[in-house]
Amino acid sequence: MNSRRIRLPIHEATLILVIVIAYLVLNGTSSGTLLSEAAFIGLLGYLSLSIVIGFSQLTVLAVGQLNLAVGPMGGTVCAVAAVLMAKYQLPVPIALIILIVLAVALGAVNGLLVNLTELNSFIITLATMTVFVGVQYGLVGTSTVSSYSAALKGFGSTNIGGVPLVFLGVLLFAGALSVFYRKTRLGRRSLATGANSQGAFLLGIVNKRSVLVAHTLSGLCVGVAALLVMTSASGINRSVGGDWLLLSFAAPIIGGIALSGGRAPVLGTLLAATLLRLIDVARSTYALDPSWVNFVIGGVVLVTVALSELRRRTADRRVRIG
Amino acid sequence: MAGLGLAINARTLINRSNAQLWVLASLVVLIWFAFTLVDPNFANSVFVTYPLLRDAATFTVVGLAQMTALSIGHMNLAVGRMAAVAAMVAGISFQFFGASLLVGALLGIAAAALLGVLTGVIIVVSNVNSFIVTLAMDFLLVGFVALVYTRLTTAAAFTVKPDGMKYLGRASLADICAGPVCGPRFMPMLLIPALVIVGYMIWIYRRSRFGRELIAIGNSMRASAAAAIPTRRRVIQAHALSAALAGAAGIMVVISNGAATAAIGSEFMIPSFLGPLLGGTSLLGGAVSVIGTIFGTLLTFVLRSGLTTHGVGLEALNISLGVLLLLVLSVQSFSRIRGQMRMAKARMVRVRASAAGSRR
Amino acid sequence: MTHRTRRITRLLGAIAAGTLLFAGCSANSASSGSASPEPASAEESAEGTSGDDTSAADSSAGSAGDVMPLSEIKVALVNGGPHPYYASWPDAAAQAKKDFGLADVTFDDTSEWDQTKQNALLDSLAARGYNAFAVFGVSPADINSTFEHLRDEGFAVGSVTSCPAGDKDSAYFCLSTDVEQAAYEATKALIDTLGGEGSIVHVTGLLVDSNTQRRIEGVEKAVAESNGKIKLVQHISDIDNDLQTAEKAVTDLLVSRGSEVDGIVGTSTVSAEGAIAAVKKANLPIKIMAIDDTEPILDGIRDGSVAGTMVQNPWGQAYVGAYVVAKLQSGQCTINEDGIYVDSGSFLVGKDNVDTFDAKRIEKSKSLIDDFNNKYLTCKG
Repeated sequence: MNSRRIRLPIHEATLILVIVIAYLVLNGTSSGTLLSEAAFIGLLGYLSLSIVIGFSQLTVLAVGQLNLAVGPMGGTVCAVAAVLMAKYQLPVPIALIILIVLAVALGAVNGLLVNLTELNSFIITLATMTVFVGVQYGLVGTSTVSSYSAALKGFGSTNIGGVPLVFLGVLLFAGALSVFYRKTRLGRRSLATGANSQGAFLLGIVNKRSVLVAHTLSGLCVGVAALLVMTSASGINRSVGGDWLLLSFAAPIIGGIALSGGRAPVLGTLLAATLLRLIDVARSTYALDPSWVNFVIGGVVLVTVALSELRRRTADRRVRIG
Repeated sequence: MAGLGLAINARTLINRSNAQLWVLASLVVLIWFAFTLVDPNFANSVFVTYPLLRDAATFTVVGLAQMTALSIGHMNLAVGRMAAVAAMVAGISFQFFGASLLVGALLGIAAAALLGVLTGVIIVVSNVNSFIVTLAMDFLLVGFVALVYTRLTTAAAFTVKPDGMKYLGRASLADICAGPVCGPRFMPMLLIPALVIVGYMIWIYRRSRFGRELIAIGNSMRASAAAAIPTRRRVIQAHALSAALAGAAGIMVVISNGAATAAIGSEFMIPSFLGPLLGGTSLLGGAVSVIGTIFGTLLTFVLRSGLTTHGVGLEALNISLGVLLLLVLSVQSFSRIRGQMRMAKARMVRVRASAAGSRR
Repeated sequence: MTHRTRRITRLLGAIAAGTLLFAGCSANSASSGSASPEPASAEESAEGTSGDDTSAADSSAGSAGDVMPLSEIKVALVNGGPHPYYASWPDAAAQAKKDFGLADVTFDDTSEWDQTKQNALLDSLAARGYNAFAVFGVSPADINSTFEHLRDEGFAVGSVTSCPAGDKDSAYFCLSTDVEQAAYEATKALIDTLGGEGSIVHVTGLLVDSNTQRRIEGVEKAVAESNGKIKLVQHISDIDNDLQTAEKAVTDLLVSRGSEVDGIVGTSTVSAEGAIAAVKKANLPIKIMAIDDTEPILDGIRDGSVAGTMVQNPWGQAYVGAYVVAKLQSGQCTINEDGIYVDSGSFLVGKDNVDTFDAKRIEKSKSLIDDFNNKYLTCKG
């Protein structure tokens, strides 16, 4: 248990170092443009979304579960809110509340199904993912729903000195999540069962309560991510959420989550998301092919996974020495 | 009350005997007739039955790829992308090296098998769940495949067709004649490679020691190790076989499409699980059914093709496939929970074993 | 174990036998679908085909002389997948059905930008009785084999909105914008608004689309003509499927190089919309030349944030395309030059003509029908 205190800061300090170097290099090649207000808005606006998408997977990975359906869930709740506002003239706040509640409910449904069938969350969320893809398509079809409040769409770029308000909101959310895992009994217990059930998890034995909490929390994160989409996208269509999956795994894994569950590196995920965002910017700066991004991120994730046993062993040794 | 109905169904479906296969086979036929009754267009041999059987042939091989991973209690989420790599390697060998159809296909399958070995090694070495490793492999390959296509082509496809490819992709058994009688026109030529693979897989799991050892590993890793089965090597081999089958499916798509593209395999995931799971293969390992995978795949594709012929939209198609998967899972786990007493005992043993293993 | 194997083998055998009995084997001399018991060949009586591969002999040749009324033709307009470009196609389909007295004209955009799915969709439409096809092929590199397949089965097929890659077109005709010319003119117009000097970015659609390659050539040609006064910062491609990706990609570029970009030329709808949204949010003084006439683009022209747009003729492509494939399928007309290319027209729209260009475009569609009747088709009676 001591290992967590020793290892975490090292991992995160490394991430911070890499981010700073990457940022400086990028800034150098872009002759300082990266420091302008417009650049900050562009950088941090999308970063907010990336971070929360990372959290939506972090919350389940922390207890040894996973959620393949994050993207289609987000897309579905966005579509519901957009249709409610555009077609049924529902006021913005009510539609957004429905969006969050629905996302939480969908997460809970995932959790309940996993508990009910006692099966691997992967296969359950693969099934619900397919359903949500269908529902999202059914709601918006091939069109883009955009005839709703322009103020809502523009809210994402509201900023204080180049720092978008939504980014501050996401930092608060991250803080709350961190407090939940460190200070509350429910959060600590979820993590503990996640850690202890490592072997059991492989066999499908799961602590039902922490599974339900984790999936519901994942639903909440998806809801927040969907909210961010609503405040920045100029319309909702069937492709919203389509590119969330890789990001959702990459951020927590690079962020240092023990893949067997039991830890929730909120700060690490946040930093990893930042790094991934810089990869995006680097791609466009150096005019690289978009598939480079997937290739690089996939490679980093695979290497992290492949080395995780090694890291676990090193950690064990440290505990023994300490 | 719905639960009760499901429960009764569950007993027939899950009881891993031939009864289940008969039920599945009759379901396929019944649903086929139902669709035909509702809409006679569904009986169209050229535009419905032929493509239906061609897809089913390809996806049976995809299902077998997943089944191989499932047989040792693992999963292969990279089936689609491994197929894409095989298709890509074959396409490159056709386009740049003028390889023949057979050579290109074998090269592609070999490339996929190598990836399978790599996946297996990572799983064995890292001790991380197979689905995380294969998912990460999938992410890596998505980027890799797209990158290769954009680098090597301007149109994102390898379109050179070696001799016989066009023929194999469009021909039917009507070209195979015994005297005056030929095969039916609605049966695609691609059924033949699929059936060869099916035969090989039946042989592996029914007759070969290798197959029996995979099943044993799926049932209990520890007991298998105790029985002197080289478990680590078998896990790697199972992933190699799974990948090679995925690669073969990728080649089949190339043949029926007439070109190798980066999109090949992107739709493999759901059907790869539906086929084996409907056919009675266990998600937890230790029980497989090759024939069941054929009928599971057929059922999926009869449903899919029936719905599309009806002009049903993508949304309904996705929803019905997802719900079907959920139903199969519920039915499977119901039967499992029924035998929970026995299972629980076995699990305790295994938990202790893996706890002991991780301490080591 | 052995016992079980035997039972399974028996099961397999029984099923195989059953299928064969049920289906009936075809006779050696059989040709076409008429050998199968299903009512498949009902719709297959069409004009002869010029397929060149093995199954050509199987197709419904021999009925070449038959003429049927347009009221027996069911036309399917199939595009590559959902895209705002096709917003006017349902209307064009309905209009064509009414104006030409066709049995049906349907519009289907469920191909999901996947050639395999598009092929499956075309098969299923054929099964449902559609016998004339106007298709935007997902993968221009291998769309010709799809066209050949359809023609072998005796259907008329036209390539609309995009032509197959390379020099060969296996469809009867290709009706699309001259995209290279349109991109060239749009870039020229952008260069004019910039005063002939500056750095520009080109945002465009899928690299797989042969249209994209042609557009890149058009843009580069215009840039080359500026003799170095205009610098092309980069082409951003593959951002035409959804607005979020497009907006993000342009934002990423602006984050790092926003200060050096003076103008953006968008040669695909969604990428242009993404550029408009990204530039608006970044609040940079960048001139934009867009493509097509979706609401965000026209609104941008009206409020001045968009310098102009190169409007294409999607409605006309669908309307005229449906007419021509129907005429060909009915046997009333034959094409003079197989695989001919026809430009469907493009129009530069700025603030002055933003509310009036549509009339001009409808005129163009009408003249296209005349052109086909008089120049490209030979019709009986």
